[in-house]
Amino acid sequence: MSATKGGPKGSGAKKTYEEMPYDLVKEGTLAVLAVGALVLVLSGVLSTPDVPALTAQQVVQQDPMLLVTTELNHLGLQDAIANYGPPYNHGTGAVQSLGPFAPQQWAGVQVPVNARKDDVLIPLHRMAVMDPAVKRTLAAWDHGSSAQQLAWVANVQKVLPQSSVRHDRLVLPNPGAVQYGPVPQMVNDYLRIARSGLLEAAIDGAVGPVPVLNRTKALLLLENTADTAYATKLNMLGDEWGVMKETGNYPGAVWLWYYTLLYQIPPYNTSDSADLLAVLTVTIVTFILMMTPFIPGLRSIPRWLKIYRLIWRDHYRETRERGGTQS
Amino acid sequence: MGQGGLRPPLQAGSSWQFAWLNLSVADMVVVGLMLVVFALALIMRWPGEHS
Amino acid sequence: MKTNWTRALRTSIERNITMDNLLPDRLPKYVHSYVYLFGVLTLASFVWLIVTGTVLAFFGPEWWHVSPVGHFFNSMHFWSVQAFFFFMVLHLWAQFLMAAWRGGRHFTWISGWLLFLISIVGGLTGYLSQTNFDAQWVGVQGKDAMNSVGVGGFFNLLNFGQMYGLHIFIIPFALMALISGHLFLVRKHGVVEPLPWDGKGDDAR
Repeated sequence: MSATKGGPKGSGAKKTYEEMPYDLVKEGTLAVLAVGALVLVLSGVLSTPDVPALTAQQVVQQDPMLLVTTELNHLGLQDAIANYGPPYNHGTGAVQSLGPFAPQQWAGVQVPVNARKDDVLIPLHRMAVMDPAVKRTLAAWDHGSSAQQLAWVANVQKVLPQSSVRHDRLVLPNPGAVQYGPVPQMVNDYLRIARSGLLEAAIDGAVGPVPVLNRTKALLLLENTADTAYATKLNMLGDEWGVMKETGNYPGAVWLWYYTLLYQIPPYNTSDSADLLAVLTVTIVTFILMMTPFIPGLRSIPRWLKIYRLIWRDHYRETRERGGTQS
Repeated sequence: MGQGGLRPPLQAGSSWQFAWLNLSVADMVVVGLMLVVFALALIMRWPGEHS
Repeated sequence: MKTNWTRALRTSIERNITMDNLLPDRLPKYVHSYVYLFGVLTLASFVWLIVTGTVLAFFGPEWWHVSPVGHFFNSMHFWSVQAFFFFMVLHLWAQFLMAAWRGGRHFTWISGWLLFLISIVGGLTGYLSQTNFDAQWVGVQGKDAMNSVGVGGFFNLLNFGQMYGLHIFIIPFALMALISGHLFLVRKHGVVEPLPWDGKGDDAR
């Protein structure tokens, strides 16, 4: 701190130490040119990956049963969002807390999402405008009580291992059975709209010709099923450091290692509140590192490591040769 | 559930698995380069008459 | 006599910011190692981030998926990011090993950390602005972390419009402002003096 007393020039370096001519502007210009050349070469030789977003249409084409499972999960209120909790709804499934410290709960519902309604029923209702058959199916669904609806879904889920999808139609072992209710037809309609490529648009709706820029609801549809299956194939899961991985053989967000590392080790990898714990840890660690100048011990580590002797070796040698004692 | 069905347009990147550690080769190359470049910067002699 | 705010500001600027300080043509002789270059290389990478980012922003977020030229600019942006963080982390290591916060330079150190943190948000919002599977997966994975600390509602990773706006305006603007402050502090205080050979000394900070 004492150095700042010397006046506006701050450090006493200019008084005590010998100087040499230096051209900062030239150095900066050369650095820009050098990095530019490096970036040009890397871009030319290595390019970048661009794996298109995973769409419901692609899921229907490549693994239709996965979309069926997803839809049934939503109808049966078993998907990851149905009971997620804030900020989407009042569920408890994904709420994290550490004792009384529950910021997720305190924040409350700010982005209301009803996964069954938003991701399945609303797109079907939009479809019904163009197709009266869909309207009748939805009317049948609405006629059932809550318990009845869940029972229909459960009955279909029970026979799913013996079922398949052929030509965008769900083929069940006992077709037309009364215990399935309108669910098989709802699945067929859902497969159809997904095949058309309009499912995500039908979820998020439209404001006339203006683009919808908030895609929360459509993105939440596949997150826990198809997205995860896709990411598994790309080796990008969270327990494989997926948050910071890039598709293909490209470096990812390497600078996040000190955060994503936490998810791999106890207690984080087993905690129900891993995210909260990891974010808090990183916040505290970062704050400590930021405050290094004021923390005895931590601020002395460079003196113990002695790598500064290598950095300033010419300076020390000159001082010694001149017989100086000051350094 | 037939999750084998989805086909990403490219293969997963190479990675190195050791116990709980799963690191992509590309990321390790970057970190390796960081260490090498830093070591070189420490060791290499700055050009000029200053010696 | 009443205080004249304008004159007070002018006097303060003249006293604190001299051109000799901002653009010196002489440096202490101990500035004699390649580790001093990591800062300027980080800055140079940032210049390329702004240049390539401006081109990408001009043509819009869909351009790079359909145009080979756009893809090339995306590649330049991607590798500029890698270079930016690469050199920034090496710069951080070097400043740590020199204990460069000494002599009243603690705000330089703290502003460097703020730059690192805001750059990480820049990286995150950049991934989310890609409108491809990376963006989709980073969004649905990362949302749980944001939600767990209660910020997922107003920093919604699945809201493309919000993430894109942050990425192309608010974060670059904040970075530029902070970089200006960081560089000003570096120039104001000058390059940190060498530690005593034995590491002992009175300037504990």
